[in-house]
Amino acid sequence: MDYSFVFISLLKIVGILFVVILPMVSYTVYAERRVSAFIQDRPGPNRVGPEGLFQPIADTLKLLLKEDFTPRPVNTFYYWLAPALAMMPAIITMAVVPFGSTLLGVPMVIADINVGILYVFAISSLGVYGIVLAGWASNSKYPFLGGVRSSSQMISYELSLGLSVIPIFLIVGQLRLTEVVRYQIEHGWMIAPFVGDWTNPGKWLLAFPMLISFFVFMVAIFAETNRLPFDLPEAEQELAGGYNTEYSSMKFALFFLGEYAAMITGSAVIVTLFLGGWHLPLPSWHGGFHWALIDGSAAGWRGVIGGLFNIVTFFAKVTALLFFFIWVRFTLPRFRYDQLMRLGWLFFFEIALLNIFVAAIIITFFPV
Amino acid sequence: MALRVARPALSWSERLYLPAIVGGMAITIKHFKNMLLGRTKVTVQYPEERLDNDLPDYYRGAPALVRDADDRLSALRIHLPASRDQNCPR
Repeated sequence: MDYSFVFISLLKIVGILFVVILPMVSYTVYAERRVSAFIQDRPGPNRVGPEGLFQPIADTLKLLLKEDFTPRPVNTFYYWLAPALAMMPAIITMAVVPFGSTLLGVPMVIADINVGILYVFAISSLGVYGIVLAGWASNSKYPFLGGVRSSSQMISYELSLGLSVIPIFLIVGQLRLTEVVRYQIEHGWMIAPFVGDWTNPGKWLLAFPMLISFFVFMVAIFAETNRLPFDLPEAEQELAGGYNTEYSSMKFALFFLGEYAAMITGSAVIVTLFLGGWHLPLPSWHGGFHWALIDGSAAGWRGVIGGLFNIVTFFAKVTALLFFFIWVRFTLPRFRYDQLMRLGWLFFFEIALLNIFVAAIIITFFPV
Repeated sequence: MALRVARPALSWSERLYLPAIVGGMAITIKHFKNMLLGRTKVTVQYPEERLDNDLPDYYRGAPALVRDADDRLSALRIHLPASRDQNCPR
């Protein structure tokens, strides 16, 4: 057994989880509160530390120290299991997403498996079990309604989620996410093919179905992560908080963390599939204009800086998408339940299906 | 008999809702930007900022603790000093 592989993998898991994802989750909560406040002409939380930057620490301490109350009528086993099930899938999904090129020769992806996106869909759809179990085990009306809503919503939008990415794999020919990124480095990002053979007209024709795919996938991710305008499982006005009504203390916080972690991994998947992953082309004029590729393959400290630059680029793109998530949340009103179902089944499903045919026709006549 | 209100006939672009969504997002980002650049004056940041010294001329009230004969706290009242303006209708 190769112990160095195990050690490096463990190092990557600990690094990505405790250094990047969990702090990012807590600061996304802070950003959500601050950005929403700014959009609504309020200052937002600005007391704890400079500009309120220590607010997440105060929140975490508060949630940890609160009384963990378990109501008597609940089904205790599932009641305790549900928060963990809501949190875990969101984090495990991150394993296949390439978040950087290489650092000191080590590929910056935890598990480079050849089923890539199928793994993402398989694991991320498990997240619904946490919500359904929480709703059912709470033995209370409103959480139950929230859980039921959540399951039907997830099933409806899973269809368009899966169908909208098929054009990508028609183009790339592989499900491995590192291959998707490699293709985008060579042939340009999926929705903006500027680098590589960008003079090929087929590339620009393909950008249209890609934009539609991007839009449908984005909307489906909004629905999958229960974000507004699709937050019916936790519609406060109707359900008094939804599936997490009966939870308190750290168990409640786990649902919260799970939702935000799902947002981050969802954004990471969007970035990998459509926005070029960790790739950022920089213009270069050495012997005529061309796009320079920066990655971790160079020798010595240049390689280290390149590898770090790729990681920073990736998470900068993810952060931009997270801002977009928050921005949308504080702009759009919530859909009514029948409108949500109608939109999922009668519009996005058909659009995604048609999109596959359009992309296939373009690939047939303009091979790229 | 219930009154039936005719639904407004929406044009094709209105039924698509996308222009309205984009318009709404433009409005919210404008508010975000103005707040970020400090153009929106929102409220008084109380412990740091106090309006005690530049209250408007028409301001009459002053919160005061009222004590009874035994020096016990009886109520928090808005004390209206008549000396500032004798026309004050008390």
